[in-house]
Amino acid sequence: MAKKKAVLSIDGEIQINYKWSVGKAGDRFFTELRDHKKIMGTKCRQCGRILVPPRIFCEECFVEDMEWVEVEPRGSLLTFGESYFSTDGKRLKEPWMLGIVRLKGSNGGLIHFIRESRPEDLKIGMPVEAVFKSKPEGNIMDILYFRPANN
Amino acid sequence: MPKRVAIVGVGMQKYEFRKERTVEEMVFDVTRNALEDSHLSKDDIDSVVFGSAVDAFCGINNSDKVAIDASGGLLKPTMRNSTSGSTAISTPILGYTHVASGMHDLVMVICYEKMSENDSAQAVFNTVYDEAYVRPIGLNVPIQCGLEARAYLHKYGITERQMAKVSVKNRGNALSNPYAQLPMKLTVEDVLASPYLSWPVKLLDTSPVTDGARALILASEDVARELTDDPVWIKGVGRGADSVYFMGRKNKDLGRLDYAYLAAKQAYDMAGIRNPMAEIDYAEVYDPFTYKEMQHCEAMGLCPEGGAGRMIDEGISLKEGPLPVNASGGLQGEGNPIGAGMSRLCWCYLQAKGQAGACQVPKDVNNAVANGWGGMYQYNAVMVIGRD
Amino acid sequence: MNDRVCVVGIGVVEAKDPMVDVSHKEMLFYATRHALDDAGLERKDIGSAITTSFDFLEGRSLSNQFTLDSIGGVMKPCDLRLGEDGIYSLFAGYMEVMSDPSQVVVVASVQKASERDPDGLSYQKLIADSMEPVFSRPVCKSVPNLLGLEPVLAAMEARAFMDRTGLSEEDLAEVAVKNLNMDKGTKGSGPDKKTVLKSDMLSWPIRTMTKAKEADAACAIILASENRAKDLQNEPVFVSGIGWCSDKSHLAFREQGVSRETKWAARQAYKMAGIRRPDREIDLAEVSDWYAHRELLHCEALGLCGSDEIKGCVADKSFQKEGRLPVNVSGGLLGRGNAVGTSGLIRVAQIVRQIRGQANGFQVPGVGVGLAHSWGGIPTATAGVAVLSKW
Repeated sequence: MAKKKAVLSIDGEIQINYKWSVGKAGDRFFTELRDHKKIMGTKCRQCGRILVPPRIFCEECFVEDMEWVEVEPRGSLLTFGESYFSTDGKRLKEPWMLGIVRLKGSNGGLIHFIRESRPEDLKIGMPVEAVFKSKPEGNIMDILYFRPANN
Repeated sequence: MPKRVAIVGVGMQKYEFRKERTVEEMVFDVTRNALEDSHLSKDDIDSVVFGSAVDAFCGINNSDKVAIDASGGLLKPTMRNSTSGSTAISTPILGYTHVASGMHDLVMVICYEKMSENDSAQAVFNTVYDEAYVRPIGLNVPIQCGLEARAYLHKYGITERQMAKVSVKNRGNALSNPYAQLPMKLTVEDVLASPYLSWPVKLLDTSPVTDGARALILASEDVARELTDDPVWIKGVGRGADSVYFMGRKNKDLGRLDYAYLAAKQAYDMAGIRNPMAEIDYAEVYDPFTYKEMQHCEAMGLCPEGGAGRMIDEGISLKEGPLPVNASGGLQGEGNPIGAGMSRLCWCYLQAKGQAGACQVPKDVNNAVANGWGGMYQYNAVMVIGRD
Repeated sequence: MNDRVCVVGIGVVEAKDPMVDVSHKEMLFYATRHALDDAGLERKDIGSAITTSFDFLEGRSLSNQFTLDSIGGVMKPCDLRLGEDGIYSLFAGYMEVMSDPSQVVVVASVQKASERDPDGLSYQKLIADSMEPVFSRPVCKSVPNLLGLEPVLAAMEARAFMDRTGLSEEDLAEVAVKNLNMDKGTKGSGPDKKTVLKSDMLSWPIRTMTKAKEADAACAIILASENRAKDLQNEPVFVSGIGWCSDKSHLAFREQGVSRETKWAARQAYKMAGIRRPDREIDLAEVSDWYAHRELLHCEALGLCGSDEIKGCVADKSFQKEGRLPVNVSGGLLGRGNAVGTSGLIRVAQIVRQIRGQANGFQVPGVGVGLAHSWGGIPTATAGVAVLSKW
């Protein structure tokens, strides 16, 4: 088949900068994270579920009736995945990994990096703990990563 | 036969610039308010319809997906509509088809927009233009509206002073609206003295960028009658769209909005309204710019074509006038969160119910009309609502 | 309700290679023109028109507005949808016809992946930008290589699914081989299991050949009421059930390795179509196989097999073209390429072809009831299901 002749094209991109409000719930969460290295959740007074990330409302009971509770900086690994590629597409010896962590005593959790381990060391349901940044700034990267923990 | 559809609840919220709430929290607020207003719980709702104009405003791809939990739409059918400014009315029309088709009995319609978090709403607006022919020129909304307003003034002999009167009316009306962002007591001279953005459009002819959300609950006839003795029905819906290339429309005259006349005709035909000037009691028309209110009053048949100048001169559209328009303050007084302009329809509903508070007009409102304008300056959606 | 909604015309423009010689507007015009020709209709017959698209996939705000002219929508009542899969336009079109049965409605979608860098950095950025911006996005934005983001996110759910069901990498390869070989009639012999298992590992168990590649495509479908369809040239294909649904927005709140959204969407569609045993009543299915594991995950969620039968269904070739319930005989997304947002609508067109007996090399004999499924892709939990039938 004859190669089709491409019509002309022009270059373009959309680049817009933002400043996102973290919301009322996020404000408390990130303040506590920054100032006390605490992970906070909101507990629904009606169903008792503890939400992390916190919300000012419970999506199940659909009420704004929440109290703040501290959640342990550790939990179990719901699932994880790894990648062996660096930014320039080169194959890495040590992979980087993401996991979804269900924080202990909560009904939610965080998606975050999993480090200080190799994929073969990890299994679904295993305990992991958070490692915090020494100089927190009030964003989710104040948690540097999660790592395998003892039970 | 399509089912009859009623509006049974409304969720309001103050419009503010840089509202310290996330999209999810804004949506939760109005959802909650609408449920309370209609004495329903989220489990009663069959499906959710979202409306939001441009994802680039809030910077979240498919931002409705982030608000699913907050809308009570979890594990229910949810759908997003977007036609830019006309999202305001095209979204409730989509909700209407959910009920009229017999698919669902109770539908939550939520419109939201968070415009304050990007570094330039006008830069976002540039990205709505055709990338090859228009965007590189740096066109934005005020300039485009200048082009359109000039054509309109030229065609019908409308004056800047008449435009200014619309601004005075709407910002003044907003003084009675607790949800309004920019109520102002102005004189025509104040408006005329404000700086030009693009002739003839001046700063006080425009509407402010804002954040906010609105919710409405739609119900089928059977359900509506259980919920209320005095339902407000959706009597007519209409949509019209012209060519994307505003440079190459069949009607090259930018001053006349053929597509808006088309949309209004559909809605009125469906509602059985032959003479809107006599049969419509109240209107909230889309007024991002003063001249847009005037163009839309004409297209909605609230005054003769080209007669919007006289309409404002004679005080017909004042709150106390025979055919009040935007007694809530409109987009100019209340704020213009593009997709959340559904507020226009919410106010028609509140007026029909007699629940408009200090904005209530001193006359019975049986039939009301609201419209939304958007797309690539080529789309209009119209809804006629009213009581039995 | 005596009126039913039928598909009366379909038009598909697709290719595995970038469609360099046409713009997205032109592609969509061709699809709509084909659909009108297929139905024996003209633009004047169109009552309203619906289109869907994704702003950031295209780099255009209000991206749906640009295609209005291409779908015959000028000076018509149009409905323009954003951020939804193409199959959602079918749902909206269905409701549009039911709300006004005199109308002929065009529903359409286009995706020109090649205008970005297909499977490249832009799509990964987009995935990060779909994450909720406060809690999840900063993590996704700071991964060492953004190119790895989607595979890792896919791997996480695949791992949870495989952990629960006991599926192996070989089983996933089997799915990929099936779909990659469906069109071998035109492309020569496709890859075997060994080749698939040797393809580049992106993030265990996601390999280059167990993940669909992006493609360019456009699709238009014309809908009408049963009454209106009587006068038209094609045997109508009925839209007998539709359902759509989304699960929780935060990843961490969702159950991993299941597709609740698909299950709940299917529940609505089956109820409407009166289907009680989908595994017996559905003759053929086109389900999202964005990743090989997703085909099996969706078959489970759609009730095409029991949770304990998935492994068995792979082993006994249930979902092969000659099997008990052929799945993705078109080649699916793995075989044909994934035009994100448009593929869902194309799946509907493929089912229509099968029911009409016009699927040529892919035809499965005697298809009376077919199912089309679409899934929104990572990180959404959004699904749409349509059941189509001959009667």
